[in-house]
Amino acid sequence: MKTLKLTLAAAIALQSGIVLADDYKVQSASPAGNYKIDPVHSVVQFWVGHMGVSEFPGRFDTITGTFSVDAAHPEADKVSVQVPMDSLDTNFDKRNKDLLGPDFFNAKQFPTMSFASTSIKMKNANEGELTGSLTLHGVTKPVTFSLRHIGAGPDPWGGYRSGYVAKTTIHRSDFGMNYMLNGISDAIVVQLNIEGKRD
Amino acid sequence: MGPLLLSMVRETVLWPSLAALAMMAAGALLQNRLFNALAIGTGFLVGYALIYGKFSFPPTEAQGWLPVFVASAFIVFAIDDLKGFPFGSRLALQGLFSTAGAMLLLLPLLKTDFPANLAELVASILLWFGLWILVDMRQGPALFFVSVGNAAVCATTGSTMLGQLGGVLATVLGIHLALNLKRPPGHAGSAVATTILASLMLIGHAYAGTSTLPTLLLLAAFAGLAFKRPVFAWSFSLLPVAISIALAVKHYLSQDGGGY
Repeated sequence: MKTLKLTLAAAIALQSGIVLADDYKVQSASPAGNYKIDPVHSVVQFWVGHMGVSEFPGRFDTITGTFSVDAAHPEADKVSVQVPMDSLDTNFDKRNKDLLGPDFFNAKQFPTMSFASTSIKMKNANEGELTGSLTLHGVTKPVTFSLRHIGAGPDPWGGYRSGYVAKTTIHRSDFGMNYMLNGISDAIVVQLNIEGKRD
Repeated sequence: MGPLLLSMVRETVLWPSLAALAMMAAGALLQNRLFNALAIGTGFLVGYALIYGKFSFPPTEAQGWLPVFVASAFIVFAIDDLKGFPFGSRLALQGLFSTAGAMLLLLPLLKTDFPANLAELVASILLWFGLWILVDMRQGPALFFVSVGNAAVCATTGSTMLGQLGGVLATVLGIHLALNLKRPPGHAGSAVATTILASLMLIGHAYAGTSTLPTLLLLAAFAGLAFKRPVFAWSFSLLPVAISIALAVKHYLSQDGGGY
């Protein structure tokens, strides 16, 4: 009988845990407004092919920038992002140094990567395309990201937040990074996870 | 040997060697000493094209200046070999090239923070100029040994690409040394080789963060040029380079892994 009670209590506890997990809801308020990117909740990640046997990830931890969403005039929507190259982290110091050197990013000469949107076209409330100019390694090229709006709504501190995920594939040779194309892939998947706090 | 390593050997050793040997053969047929300088320059540029693979003017990166430097150094000092400039004019030209070279390579850093990089600029000009005068006035194996050391130091402590480019220079200088042991490369040859070596060392230090102590030891190897007796010239050149390579390799092995 005692065992049955304990089992029931555990089941209730587990059930309540699941209920708590289910409490996580994506906020679906309007994303309209001017936002400043929250660097603590934003990141640029990338995946690059290594010697034809794996796809290795890296990330840039520091992002600054703004975005604005105008529901009445979507053509006025804008995104502007700046990323200091020395915020690179690939989980190995020597590789970080190698990537930031002349072989690839040449960060001393080109210390910042930036993106400025030229158009945002939403196919529906949550998905669309973000097009703009990506400046990397001193070269500026047009790039189109697939864009997904995650959610928008109030935070517990009286603020208002909205977040997006943007993903694309670039070719590093387009940006003048040609070294060792037979060992490190030309195609690189880039993903921006951005959370902004409304002004 | 894996395909990636094989490709690096082809880019660094095979094709530059063939280009340098072809130029030397042409020079032997035509009995023209300028082909020694052409062999060093052409061999290096073949490797450069295969490894770096970009030519643009004005260059967007420091290493993009290398073909311009090689071509201009060859043209000006080939005229010197043909006409024989007065000593003072040659010194002035070497000073001008060293100053312009260091300034152009460091320009992106000088634009960002001029005061912080001024000391490096002045030191680079003086070292480049001093190294050039030594190499031009005294023949010996020091240039070859230092180029081998520079390739090793760059590859292990700074940049694989600069290490490869350093390897190309070491290859063509090794061929030149083996085939022309008793014959100097001329002012044009010294100009081309010194320009490439000084540029690679400076780019490595400024942009790839190559270790300072091994780099200074490489520069110390030029002390070998002060000796006329081959045994001293070779020993005083080889010893600092060997220590430099050992330090660089030790640094490399102290890390958990290597490569990208």
